Amino acid sequence: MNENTGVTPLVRLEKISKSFGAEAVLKEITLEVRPGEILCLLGASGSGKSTLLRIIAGLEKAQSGRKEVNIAEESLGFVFQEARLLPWLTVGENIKLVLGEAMAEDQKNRVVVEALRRVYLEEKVMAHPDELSGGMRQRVAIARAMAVDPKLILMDEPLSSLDFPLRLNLIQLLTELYEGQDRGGVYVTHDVREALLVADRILILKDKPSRIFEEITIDLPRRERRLERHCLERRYHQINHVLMGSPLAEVPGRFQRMHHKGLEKNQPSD
Amino acid sequence: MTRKSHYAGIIAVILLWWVISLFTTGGVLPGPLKVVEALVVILKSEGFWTNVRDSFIRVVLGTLLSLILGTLLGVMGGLVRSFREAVHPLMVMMESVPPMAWIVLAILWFHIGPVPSVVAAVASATPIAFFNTVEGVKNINTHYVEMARIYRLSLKKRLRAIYLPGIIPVIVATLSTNFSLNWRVVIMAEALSAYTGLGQGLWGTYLFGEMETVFAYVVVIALMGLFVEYGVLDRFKQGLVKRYHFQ
Repeated sequence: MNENTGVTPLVRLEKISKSFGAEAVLKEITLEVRPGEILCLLGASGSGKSTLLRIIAGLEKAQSGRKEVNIAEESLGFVFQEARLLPWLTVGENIKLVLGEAMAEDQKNRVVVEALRRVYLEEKVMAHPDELSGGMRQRVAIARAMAVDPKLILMDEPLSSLDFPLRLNLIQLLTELYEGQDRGGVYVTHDVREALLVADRILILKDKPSRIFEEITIDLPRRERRLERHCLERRYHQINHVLMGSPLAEVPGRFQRMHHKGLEKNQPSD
Repeated sequence: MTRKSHYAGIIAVILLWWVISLFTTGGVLPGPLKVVEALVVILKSEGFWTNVRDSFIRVVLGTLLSLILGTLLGVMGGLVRSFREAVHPLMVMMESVPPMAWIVLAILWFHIGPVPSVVAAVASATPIAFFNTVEGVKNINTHYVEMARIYRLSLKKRLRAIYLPGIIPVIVATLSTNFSLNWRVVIMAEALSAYTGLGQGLWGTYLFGEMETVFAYVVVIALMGLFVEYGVLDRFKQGLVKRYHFQ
C-alpha cells in the first residue's frame, strides 16, 4: 500500500534500470499505477518508454530494481503499436483465442460479441484482419485486450499509425471504456496532445539514460477534455517546455491552429 | 513466369534435343520423334500404368512420411533448444549420407521389394523437413509470440493457432523440395530394389539396349514431375495462401 495515497497500486516499480548491451536506457525509474487511473509515459522516440512498458508486462527483464505486481497474471491486457492479429483467424477467433480455456463456448461467443460491440465492429466478427482497415484492426486489438476484462491494460502507442481524426475517435472510445472502471492503464505515447486527452497523470521521460523528469497531474475529467480547453493548452506548453525547452509564454489561439494543422509537429508554430 | 514462357522453354529444349540428335550415332541420343514412337508403345504396354501407379504411391508415401516426421521433430526442435541440440547432429549425418547409400542399406534391411525405395526416400528427405521446420518455428513473427505470452496462451493453443499455421509456408516449400528429391530417389531405388515402378522399367529397357524406350521413360518421369509441381502442388499452395490469408 502506498503510504501517501493509502491505495494499493496495481503495479509498482522501484528504481528500475535497464541497459541494452553497453547502452543504458532507463535509470532508477520509480512509478506506480493506481486503480482507476491512466498513467501516461511521455517522451521522445528512443526514450525507453516502450521498454518500461515491456518491463511492466514481463516481456523484458530489468537489470536492477524491484517490480511489484498486485494483480492476477490473467488480468493483464496489452494493446501493441501494431494490432498483432493472426491473419489466418477471423476477428472473432482472434478474440476468442485469448479467453480462458475453462470458459464455456457459449460464454466465449457472448464475450466476443460484447467486446466487438463496444468498438462498433460486431458485424465484422467473421472477417479476416486483411479485410479490415488499419483503424478497424486496432479497434479489434482494443476489443481483444478488453475481452479478458483486464485489471491493468498496457498500451504502447496504440494509435500512432493512424491518422488524426481516427485517433481522436479511438481516444474517445478508449476513455469511454475506462469511465467508471477501477482498472488501471499505462499509456505510452510521444504525442503531447494524445497524452493530455487520455492521461490522469503524465510522467515525462527524458535524458540518456531516461529518468522521470517531471510528473504532471491532469485533474480535468476526461469527458470534459477538449484540446481547445485553456487549462489543457497551458499543460501543453508546460510539457513542451520540459521536453524541448520551448518558451512558456501562452499565446491564445496558437494551440487550436496547430491542432488543426495535424499531428506531425509537436511544436506550436506561428 | 507466364504460361507462354513455360511453353517457350519446353519447345526450345525439344528443338535443341532434335538438332543434337541429328549429329549423334549409335542410339546415344535418339531424336524426339523416335522417342514419341517408343512412348506410344510403352503407354499401350502391359504393366506401364502399374509402374506409374507404384512409383507415384512410393514417392507420395516417402514424401508424406518424411514431412510428418521432419515437421514433428522440427517443431519440437524449434521450441525446445535442448531437443534441437540433441537431434541436430543426427540429422546432419542423415543428410550427409547419399541416397545411393540409403538404397543399399534399405535393400540390406528390407530385401528386394517396394519397401527400400520408400525407406530411402524417407531417410533422404526427413533432414530437409527438420531443418526447414526448425528455422520456420524460430522465425515465427515475434509479434505473435509476444501476444501469446501476454495472454498466457497454453502450448496447445500456441501450436494450433500460431506455430502450425505460421510454418505452413515452410511446410509447403518443403513439400515441393522433398517431392522433387524423392522422385529421383525412388526411381533410382526402384532400378535396384523393386519388381515394379518406373525406375525398374527404365533399368530393364536399358539392359535390353532399347535406347528410345529408355528416353521415353525419362520423358514420362520428367512429365510426371512437371504435372505434380504445376498441376498439384502449385494449386495446393494457392489454396493454402487463400485459406490462411498469407500476404
